Amino acid sequence: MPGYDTSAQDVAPVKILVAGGFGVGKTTLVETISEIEPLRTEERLTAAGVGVDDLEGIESKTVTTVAMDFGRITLTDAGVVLYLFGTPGQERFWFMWDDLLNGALGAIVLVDTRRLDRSFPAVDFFESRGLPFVVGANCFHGEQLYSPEEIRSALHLRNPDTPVLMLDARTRTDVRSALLALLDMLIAKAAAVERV
Amino acid sequence: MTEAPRRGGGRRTRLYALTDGRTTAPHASLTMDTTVTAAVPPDAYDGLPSEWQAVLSLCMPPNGRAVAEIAARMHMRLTPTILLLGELEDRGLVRHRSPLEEAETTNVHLLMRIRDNLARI
Ligand SMILES: Nc1nc2c(ncn2[C@@H]2O[C@H](COP(=O)(O)OP(=O)(O)OP(=O)(O)O)[C@@H](O)[C@H]2O)c(=O)[nH]1
Ligand SMILES: [Mg+2]
Repeated sequence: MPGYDTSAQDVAPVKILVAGGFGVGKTTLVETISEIEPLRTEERLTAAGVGVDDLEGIESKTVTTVAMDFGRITLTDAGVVLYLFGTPGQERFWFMWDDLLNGALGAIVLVDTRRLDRSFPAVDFFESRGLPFVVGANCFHGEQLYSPEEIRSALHLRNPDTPVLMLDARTRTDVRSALLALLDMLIAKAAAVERV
Repeated sequence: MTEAPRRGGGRRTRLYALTDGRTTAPHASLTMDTTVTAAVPPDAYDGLPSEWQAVLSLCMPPNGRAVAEIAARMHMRLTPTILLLGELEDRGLVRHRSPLEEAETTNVHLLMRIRDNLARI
């Protein structure tokens, strides 16, 4: 029977992360562009205690179940299947989670300009790990009150060329544009390395 | 933050509990973004535990499914799903395709193919 033998190589998996603060539209974005209905994958993580307990030398452990959004886009012509992972809102847990980051092409960091600070941890995390990302400013109030330049400087982005896009996470063309902007960035980066 | 565990101590404890004291090493090659595909046709499922059959019918060729998707559809958490899939792989019932490595994902031609394909979806 064809397909059950080990020679079939199918399409290669690649991964893009969707991050950002609580309620910023991560699930919505994955839902908008995924070819399947949104799924939630759960994992249980343990965090070593920090805070008051440490003063008394007592180690506390917090066990939390985190849920990721999962979506996929099969890109047959490119020979890949793109997996999208919407990262959990509780950054203090996904900071400890290397499996999420390993092998990712890049990320989309969603921000709500009314609560920019909620997306700082995601920006810091990807910058410190060197994962390329674009910023998507989710326009909850229809019209965006800030320019991309204002958002870029308010976020203190380490790379001043980081694309900042205005988007509506519910709109497919907006989400696709954000993915394309990320790919353009990755292509430029890879081409620069190749030229050296 | 004190030593951020790569594979959290809690996860290991839970694995131990879940597997009833059996200390199966987690299958390091199976990650959430690995694609798993059934390696045997449905007529070979007879006599297998129903949970295994459910997993196998989820990941039929040619496409198979991501480990994360299998976990979500099976209503299982990631780590127990990886253990289960590892057992199926050890028995030759599934095979896996690992995500592309950095050397490949930074290939400009591959990235351009992905971009072109995304632009047409
Ligand atoms: N107006 C508007 N509403 C949006 C947009 N994106 C998401 N929403 C709404 O905002 C709410 C939160 O969106 P979610 O996608 O659940 O946000 P999230 O980041 O997954 O939230 P958590 O997982 O709880 O952190 C939902 O009610 C969405 O319908 C957008 O672009 N514009
Ligand atoms: Mg969500």
